[in-house]
Amino acid sequence: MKNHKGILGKALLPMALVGTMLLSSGCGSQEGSSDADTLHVTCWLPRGEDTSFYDTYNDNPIVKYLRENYTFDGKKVEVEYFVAPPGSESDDFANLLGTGDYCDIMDMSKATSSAMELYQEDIIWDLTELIPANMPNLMAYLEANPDVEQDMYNIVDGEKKLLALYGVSDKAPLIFEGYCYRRDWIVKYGANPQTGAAFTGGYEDPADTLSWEDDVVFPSGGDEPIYISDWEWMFEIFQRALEDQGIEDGYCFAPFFWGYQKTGDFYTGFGGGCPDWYIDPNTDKVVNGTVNDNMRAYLQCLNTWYNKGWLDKAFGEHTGDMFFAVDSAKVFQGKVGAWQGRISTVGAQIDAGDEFTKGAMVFGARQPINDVYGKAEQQGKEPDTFYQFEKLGIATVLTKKLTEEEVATYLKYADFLYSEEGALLSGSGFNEEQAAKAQDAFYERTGHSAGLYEMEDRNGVQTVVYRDNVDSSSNEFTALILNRVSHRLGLVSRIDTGYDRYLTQAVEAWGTYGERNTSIPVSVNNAVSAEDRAEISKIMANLEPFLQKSVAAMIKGEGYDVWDDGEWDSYVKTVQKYQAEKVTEIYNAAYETVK
Amino acid sequence: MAKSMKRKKNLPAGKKVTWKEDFRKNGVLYLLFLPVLLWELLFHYLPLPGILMAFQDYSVNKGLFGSKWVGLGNFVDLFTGTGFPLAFRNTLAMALLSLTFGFFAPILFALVLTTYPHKKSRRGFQLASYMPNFVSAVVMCALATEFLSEKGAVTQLLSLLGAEKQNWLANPNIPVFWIIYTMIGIWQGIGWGSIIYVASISNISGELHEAAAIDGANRFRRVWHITIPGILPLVIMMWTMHIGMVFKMVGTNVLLLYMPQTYDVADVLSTYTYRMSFGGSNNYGLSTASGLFQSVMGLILLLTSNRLNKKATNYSLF
Repeated sequence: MKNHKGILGKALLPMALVGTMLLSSGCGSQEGSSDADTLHVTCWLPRGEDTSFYDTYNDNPIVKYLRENYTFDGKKVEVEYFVAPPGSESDDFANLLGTGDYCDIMDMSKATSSAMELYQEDIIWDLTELIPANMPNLMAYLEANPDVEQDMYNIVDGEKKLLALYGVSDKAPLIFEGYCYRRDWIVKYGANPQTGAAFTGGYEDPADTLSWEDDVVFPSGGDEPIYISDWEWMFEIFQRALEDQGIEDGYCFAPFFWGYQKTGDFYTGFGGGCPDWYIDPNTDKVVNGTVNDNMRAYLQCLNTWYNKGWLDKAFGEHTGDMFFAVDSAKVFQGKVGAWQGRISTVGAQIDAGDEFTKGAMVFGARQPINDVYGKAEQQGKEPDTFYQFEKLGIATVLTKKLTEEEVATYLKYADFLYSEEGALLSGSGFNEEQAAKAQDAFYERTGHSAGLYEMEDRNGVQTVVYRDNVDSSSNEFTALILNRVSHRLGLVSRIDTGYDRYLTQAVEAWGTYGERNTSIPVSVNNAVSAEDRAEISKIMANLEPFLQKSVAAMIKGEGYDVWDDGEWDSYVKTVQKYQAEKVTEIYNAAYETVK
Repeated sequence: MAKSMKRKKNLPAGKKVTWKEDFRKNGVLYLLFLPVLLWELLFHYLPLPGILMAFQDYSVNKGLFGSKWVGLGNFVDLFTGTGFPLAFRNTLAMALLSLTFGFFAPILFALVLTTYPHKKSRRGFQLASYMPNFVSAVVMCALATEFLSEKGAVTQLLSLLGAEKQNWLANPNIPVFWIIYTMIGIWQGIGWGSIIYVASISNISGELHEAAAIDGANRFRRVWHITIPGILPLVIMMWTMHIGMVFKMVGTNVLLLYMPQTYDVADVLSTYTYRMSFGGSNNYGLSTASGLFQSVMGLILLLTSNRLNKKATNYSLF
């Protein structure tokens, strides 16, 4: 009887959610199966490649190469990829789980459930014993990187468990999402803060956009902006530039549309941490960064900038923008002084020869340190929380649609991607020999039939040097490698990116304060129980809209007055009313278990 | 006695038609109805047991019979959320606007179209009016965002009438967002919604109009005394169905149009539920509870409206 009930219960679920099935990418009946010499598995990815490159991710050159040239446990491994509809990745993930139509392997970057929840619902495999038994390359990496290993574990009923495969890197990757500013405006409209002499600068060779030289000096004495006071000096110059050029719809800077980024970044220069929950290094406790003095100093700064007309008045309206690409249309029109940018805006790249971009030169800036706002604790402290400066990447889980034997074979296949050979193949594409062997149509169509790179000895380290016709920051490049599959080793330290002097300067500026992060680590998140996670989720569903409304209003001077102690207390009390302290308690309890 | 729109049994005395005879006679019609029947069964009746999830802490793997029963817990979470009162108010306001302006716009458009004398240009207007219905909501909302931005066409037009230049979608004052939402709905649905009325008006006998014209009735009089009474049963039926659906209809475009600074005036039950249910971990129970609440509200409105219609106009859906 019990069995019938279970069958009926499970049969009713697909009926109940049948409408959503049509919208999902559905792995359906194609899940894990194997025959004598081939293991067939399905894998869900949140994103594929542009269909102008190839029709489906199954046509990815590396996917095909792996399928045709390697065997594991004496079997070929055929992975069939299913990609979520663009813009509906999380919905698709939820739909697949809701309908039971999920794949054998699920990428968790857009997951709406944690690995622990999936494990407790008996959807995914416990890999605690399977990974050491089948993945010697990953185990070797973990032995060499115990900090990463700790973050990979979940605490389930007091036991450490490995529930997912994680992408890892040999070094925290320096993905440039840092600040950029119009250096040419400073040269043209600024003057030396010590001597008052006008700056000089420009291309030494007008035909060579890599020949920019100038004599810019910031108030802090160096040739780059370091402190908030440097930025304010810079904004005064930008304001003159905007006025002089008659740019009425331009501005000096725009924060993300909520008025803050949960990942830290700009906020972290105001005493450290991030406007979310983070581990305070002074107390070694998890604290709420939305109500402390760091947040207040940050808001006082942005409110001042808003009142002075330096901020984009409409910053709260760019709701479709990512935090590293706010209002990029205006950036490319040459109407913005400083922005959190992309590699594609650094150097002379925004120079389109038109009225406002002609002669544009963009430099990267490091995260500024507050030296103006708040109390002594909020000033002069080096930033410590940045986005994506971690060796540990995205999780991938193996569902129970695979048998234990199939899991073992797949883990051996995956382990190859953690070997040097596999990491090079997946992260840097084909070398000459592999390209010749593969004879891949996409490589040939894009002019890469000789492979993408050569190895060169650089100070005793074999380094990947891409060929001249390879742009490693392009979409085409990501389609040439196995970019969308996250469970693999990234050889960050072994790659010569080929960045020009401006990009190198920008990336170095962005990485000035090193691999720091006080955000809640994966290990702490993994130690939060499913019940507590649901509690946090419920609290945040109410609290986040309040924060988003209030912070933007405070910056504009329309909500709580950040300069008034009584009003600030009132804001803090309102946040506490949303049970923010409960979230702090849950995180602290989880942190204690993994310390 | 109220005239019911239910099908009347108008059979000769003593003659009983068996289902086989009926099927033989109307087989093609039944065949045409088959996809609709399948659609209804698959998407509206088979999922009904899923309502149980509203009373459970639903777990995908445990299924409907294995998940923990929480009674009205999901409803308590839904109604006690701090955003609920505003979301409910906004849903009501937008539903009301949609029921009034949104519902009558296609009728007026159909009346104008059918009385418009030039056949060729009428077809052109009709075709143009259908088009927004076939454009994705994302594209429509992107266009609306552009038109209503500080430099958008609509903003420029309004500024000529003395309104302040601004991004209208960012305006947090009541009832700006509500009006924008309603107008976008009309823009999307006016042409498509008018098809059924145009068809219904075309079925009204031309002789009635001719007789009225001979009696000296002008065009307005003919519309008032012939056309409107002729389509009134249809209007009542559509109105009643519209009322039943109105709670569920509000919200489709809101997700694409709102922003934190307009949450207070734009957040509706659908967006509120979406955040509550899928903001962090999945909460199917709460999502189903919200859907059930909206359906029950719709059912109450539908029954009330049907009864009021019966009393006021002598027409009813059932």
